[in-house]
Amino acid sequence: MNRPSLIGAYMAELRRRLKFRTSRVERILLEAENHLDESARALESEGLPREVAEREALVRFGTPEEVAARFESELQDTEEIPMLLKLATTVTAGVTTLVSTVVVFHSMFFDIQEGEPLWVAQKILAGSAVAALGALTLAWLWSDSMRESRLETMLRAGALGLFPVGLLTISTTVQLGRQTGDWEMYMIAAGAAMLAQGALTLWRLHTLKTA
Amino acid sequence: MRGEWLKGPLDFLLLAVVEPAPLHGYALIEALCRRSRGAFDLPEGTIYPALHRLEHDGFLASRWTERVGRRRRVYSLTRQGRRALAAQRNAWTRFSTAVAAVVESNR
Repeated sequence: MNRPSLIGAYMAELRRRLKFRTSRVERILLEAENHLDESARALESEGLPREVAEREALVRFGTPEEVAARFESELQDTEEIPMLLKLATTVTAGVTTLVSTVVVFHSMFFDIQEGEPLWVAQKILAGSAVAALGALTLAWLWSDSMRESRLETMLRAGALGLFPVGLLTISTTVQLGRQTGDWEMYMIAAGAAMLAQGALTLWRLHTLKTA
Repeated sequence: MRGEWLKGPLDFLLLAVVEPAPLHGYALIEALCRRSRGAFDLPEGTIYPALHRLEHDGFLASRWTERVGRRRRVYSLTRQGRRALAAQRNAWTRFSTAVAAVVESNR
């Protein structure tokens, strides 16, 4: 039967002690494991047997209690707000994606029959862009691999673009509401969600402080 | 030199070590040890919390890289980090010069 390695046992104990959100814990564990493995390899190359090398690497790294406690004291204050921010951005991006998708399909199948092809084309184009940006923002918020793919510039540009589109959506809907008496409140909500998504995405990018 | 002595200047030291080129955690600790000629002997695992906080505060940026099938988190200095390092370097130079002037004057 294979005996679990010392590093493996250490990682299990460190995982048990880390009280952070999953993505942060996974990153901490991956970095720690890579470090310990690299350290043990370096010691092995100096002539130590693997088990002794692992033991020495663990001593140099610090106990799981010590490492987990240091993470807690350094990062506790940084946990809550970004998670709330992430959830708020998710909700607004979800709303804009959903409403924009509905607008695109509605325009394609119903509005097109009422004439004004230029206006309908604009709605389809803007709706598709907002829906695509919303989907991209959601993927970026929840997928580590998407976050690694350096989409920040595109997301920042998209978030800035949401401000004029959101304002235009609200002002056009209000203007039409005044003229026709038909107040499409869901479109005003969608415009507000676009402004919120833009602001929250910019804030989220800012909190990540990517160079 | 362990523990409390290093807590204060640790951020400054970490920023200085990654200044010339991006480094992953293990290489960063090796460089810190080498450049201090072994004087800074912190438990290696306690460097990572400081790196994560510096990244959260915007002084460092990090990304995964893959080399020979191994994923590593590489840290680099941001513009904000570079500015903070320059300010801390100036403050440290003034402080150490003043301390040396006082201490050395007793010799």
